[in-house]
Amino acid sequence: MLDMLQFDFMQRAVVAGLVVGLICPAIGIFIILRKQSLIGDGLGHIAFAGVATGWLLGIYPVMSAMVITVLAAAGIEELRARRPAYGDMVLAIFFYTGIACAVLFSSLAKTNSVSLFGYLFGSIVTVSVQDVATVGALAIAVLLTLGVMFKELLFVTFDEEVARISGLPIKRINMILAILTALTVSIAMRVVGILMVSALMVIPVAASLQISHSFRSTLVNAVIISEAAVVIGLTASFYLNFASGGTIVITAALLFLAAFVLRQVVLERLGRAKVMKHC
Amino acid sequence: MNAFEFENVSFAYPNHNVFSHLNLRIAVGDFVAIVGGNGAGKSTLLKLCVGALTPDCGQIRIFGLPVAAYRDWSKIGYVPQNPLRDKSFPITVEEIVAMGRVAGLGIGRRMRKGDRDIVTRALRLVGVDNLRSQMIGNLSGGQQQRVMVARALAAEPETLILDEPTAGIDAAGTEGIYSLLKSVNKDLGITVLLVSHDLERVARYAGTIANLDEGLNYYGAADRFCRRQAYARTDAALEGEAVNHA
Repeated sequence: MLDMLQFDFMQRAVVAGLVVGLICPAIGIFIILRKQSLIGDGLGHIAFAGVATGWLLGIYPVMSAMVITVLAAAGIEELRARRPAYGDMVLAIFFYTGIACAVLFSSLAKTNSVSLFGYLFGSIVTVSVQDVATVGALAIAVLLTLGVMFKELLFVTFDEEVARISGLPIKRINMILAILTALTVSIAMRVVGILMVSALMVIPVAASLQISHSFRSTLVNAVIISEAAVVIGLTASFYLNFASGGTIVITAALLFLAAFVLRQVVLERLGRAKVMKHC
Repeated sequence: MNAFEFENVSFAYPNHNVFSHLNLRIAVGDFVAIVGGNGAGKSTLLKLCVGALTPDCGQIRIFGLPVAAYRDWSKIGYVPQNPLRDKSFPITVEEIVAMGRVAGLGIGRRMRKGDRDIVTRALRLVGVDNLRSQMIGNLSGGQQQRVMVARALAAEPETLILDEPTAGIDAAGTEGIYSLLKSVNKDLGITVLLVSHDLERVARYAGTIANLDEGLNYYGAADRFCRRQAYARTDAALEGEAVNHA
């Protein structure tokens, strides 16, 4: 483990990976419980259009991706709020338009396949100092906002109707969550890649839901599972020469499987034993 | 002082008129049950009270203020029908009841010891203190409804509004909820406004009944309404018998 940290690029990858491992489940828990698991995926494809815009205009791709993803997230949320029944249709329209723009812009920019694959699937070798600084700054902004708004986000996620009636500014809170999700996608795409960007928002939370017994413990366990997936995935990809993004996501999926089996085999059997004892 | 005042309020959904020129005054400290058939507008009336719907014409005042000017929404505790939409939501009883403090605290402010004490008091008041670390999905329907009442009480409300609070709950749980609401009304002086189909319990626990049937056709003492209903049933039965004999 320590051997790989002798390399500068691995130090940057581990720092960026740990930041992503912290932020993704912290936002993911809200979007999963609001039954919007696919929004990260949709925003990932829009982020791809943002990266291609950056290549075309010759600007830093992470920044252009962030701007375009935030604008798209705000648009999706505004339309979803106006027509809640068509939320998934709105997401699909943005999703396909995003991928179409990405294909068009990257062909116009004549992007080489190495850069393309680095963004699509994540590449630890290509994480630069500028990437780490940007990821760090965005992560601090996301964490601070999350800290300030945590109890309101939980209330709105659990019971939007009562939260609205009790006087919370629901529209503003939903918009803030949409923007935080967009920022998280922009942060995560350098580590796990655009195509797997929502994996760390969804899989660690899904794993944690199998073994947790409160909202707080679900959040804490999801972050632990996510960080474990990042560390194990990066280590495996370094020593076994695997693609980093895919290895991290497969590790997270294996941790989900372990949590699922633990729940089915151990926790539910324990629960049944307790019921038998009471009978 | 009135908690809610409806003055010439009309409201219609597309293709369905619900109220025309409805006038209603709900006094502070009263325990009011709204009864009536399906589609009579019971839940609509509650939603108008909490500003979730806007009347087509007329005015609604909350504690003397027009709805648009009313700001102290955290003082109105609302318990919707079937409040737990996702039984697998990973949340404990205590985490839910603590939500009652959120709107009053304001964005960015953390819960202090005083807030946590209020949450504990609300848990004790509704009798779920021993379940505080349980996941909500593991509780019975009656216990879940008590938790939702505790969340509303944690806001220290002046009015409690409940939309069919005993729907889907067994007889023992239903009796417990009504008895809890009666004590909240009597001991804490909180105005209670609820929608119910359960005339027998409403007659025992509520002070006032609002009966909706193509508008408001009765508003007054609960026992008088129930006597009137009983006479109406007897008259109908006698009429039926007379027809059979003839």
